[in-house]
Amino acid sequence: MITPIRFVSWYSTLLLGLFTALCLLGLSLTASAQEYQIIAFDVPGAGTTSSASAACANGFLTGCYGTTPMANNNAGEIVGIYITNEGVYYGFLRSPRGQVTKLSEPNADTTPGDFNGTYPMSLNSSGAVTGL
Amino acid sequence: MTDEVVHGFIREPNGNHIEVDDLAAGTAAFQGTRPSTINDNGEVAGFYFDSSNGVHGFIRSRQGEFTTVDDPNANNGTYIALEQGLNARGAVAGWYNVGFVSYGFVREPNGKSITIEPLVSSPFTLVGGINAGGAVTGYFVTSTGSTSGYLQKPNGQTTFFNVSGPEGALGTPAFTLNSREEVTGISVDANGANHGFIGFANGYIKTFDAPQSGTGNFQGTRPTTINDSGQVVGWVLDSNNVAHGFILCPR
Repeated sequence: MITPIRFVSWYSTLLLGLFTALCLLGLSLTASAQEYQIIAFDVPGAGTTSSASAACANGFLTGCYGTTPMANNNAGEIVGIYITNEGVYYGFLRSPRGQVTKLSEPNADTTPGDFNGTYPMSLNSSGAVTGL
Repeated sequence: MTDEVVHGFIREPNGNHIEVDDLAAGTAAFQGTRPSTINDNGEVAGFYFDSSNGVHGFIRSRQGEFTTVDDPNANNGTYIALEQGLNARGAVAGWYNVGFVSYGFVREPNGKSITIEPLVSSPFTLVGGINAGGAVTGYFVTSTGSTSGYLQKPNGQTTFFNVSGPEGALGTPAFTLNSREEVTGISVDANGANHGFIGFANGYIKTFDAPQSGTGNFQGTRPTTINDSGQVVGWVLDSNNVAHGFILCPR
């Protein structure tokens, strides 16, 4: 026999999973939602080197090692940058199901330690990306 | 980016690459073209540094034609918002400088420019995002030096966002919004650490901290954009100053 408490717990877990799945897939949720679930992620290849100062994140164009999402679209796709331990910027495109595509512009400078590379800023509903 | 000259790009969904270089952009180190937003029509907006390091906004049509965006009141640069500077109608938003004073602006598709002044006396107003309906969000510096977020609708109705208490001791800058006029940004505590927030047009604010958030200066949770489902993405700076991505889903 299922007790009411267990039922509520099971039901809540099911709802939580459903809402999270809907959100990741970019489907509609209530406008007045006041409860949230937060999912953390790191893209493959992102650096894990500590920076001496958090000033690397001072402003809009972060220079910190690691994974930095820049924008999402209504389909739940995410575009952003990551900085490798070698000091190179690459872009990434993450699908709602978590698949990550590396973005590297053909003419970008990928010299280790120069902290140059590819820096996506935005994507539209079709998945077209712009950046520098 | 090669030789420290900045070039823009578009990556189409099929993987095709298009270079985005405004012909008026400079070609010396750190000059060049910086796209910031692409809309569903394939239009791109951003700004460029010319050969004299002057800053100008631009709109690039899907066909590749560039239109320069210089606010008529600017004498020290026009910038397009870095995170959400272009909407589906082709209106752009950003800020322009008169000397060292910054004002927000919206440029309608017909070229008409409107100054955004949620607080007229502020020496610094920035627009971070414009949505499909023409509502804008951003922040301004108050007379006490702290920052306050705002949401301004096309009819001029303005909502201010200020996280009260220790979490918002140093200010509440807002960055972007969705078509439902839900805003995201940060509150900055007395240590300089960031906390994420979602703000609503009725003034309600919900704050959040993503896992691994550090508590030191510039560390913590930093949202970037919010989509029409209320999904927020951004990054966390941990206690070692390493960045991690996060996705916030309402439920």
